[in-house]
Amino acid sequence: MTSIINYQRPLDKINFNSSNVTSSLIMCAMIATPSMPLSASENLESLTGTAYQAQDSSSSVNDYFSKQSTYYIELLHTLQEIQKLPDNWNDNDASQFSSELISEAKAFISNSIDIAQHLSVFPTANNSIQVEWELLNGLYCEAEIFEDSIEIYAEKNDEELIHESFNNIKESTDRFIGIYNS
Amino acid sequence: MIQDDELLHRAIKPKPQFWNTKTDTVSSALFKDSKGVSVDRNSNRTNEEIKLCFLNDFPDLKGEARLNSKPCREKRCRVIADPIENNEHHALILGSEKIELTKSQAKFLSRNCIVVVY
Repeated sequence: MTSIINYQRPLDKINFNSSNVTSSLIMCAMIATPSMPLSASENLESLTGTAYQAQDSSSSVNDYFSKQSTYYIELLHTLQEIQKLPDNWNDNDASQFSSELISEAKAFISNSIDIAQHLSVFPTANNSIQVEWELLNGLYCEAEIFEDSIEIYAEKNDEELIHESFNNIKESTDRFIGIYNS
Repeated sequence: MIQDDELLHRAIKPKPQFWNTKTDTVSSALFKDSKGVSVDRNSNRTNEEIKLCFLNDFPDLKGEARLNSKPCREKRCRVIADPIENNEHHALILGSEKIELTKSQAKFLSRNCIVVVY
């Protein structure tokens, strides 16, 4: 049985206020260790558990908070799968991803936790890891993370808007989130 | 020479996942390869023949992305025949200057392909 899929369901946009941004930054600091690569044995469920235990259950901010951290954990899980890919994972001689690149991608995702629910992460055979989001209005943004740089690219309706290169994770994530909030 | 109206087929393997479940689209990462985007030409074969051919090479294949040569060239990609051992239908989609596609080209292909799930 063959089915054809050629439809799109872009995303709704959510603006973030300072309180939940602050909360998620705190959460980011609690559950992320950007300088360390994910180990194959890292227990993501325990990370989620730690995140939930840290919450005040009475606050709606914490509802948002746990939701974002759940999406964040999913992204880490995908990153863990990417880390496991062997040499020649695409049957076209693509290399295994280095622990340095995985760490960089993890740091990027950690810094972008405010929009974690809209993020997706993929490996590329350019020896890079791609983090992307897309909105209902057609605005699309991707960060292609290489070992020595991060390239931010945004377009709307096939028209290129931004293509910039960064050597600093914070600057690149600020730009990545800034485009989302623009 | 690959004609503009010839369909190109790119295999989609189960791992890694290139399907963006948040937008229900395929990621442009599927079309990023420093050695060129490997595809098979249609070569006047039926879809079933192509599927069987893919599955013969990759039994756990999840599906394929189909696109025409014409929009690739309109986006200034090069589409060249690249027959290899055991696959005379093999072809490559390359960037206009470099081997790899630009981000804009990769995104364009991801927007304009049709994903067929096996």
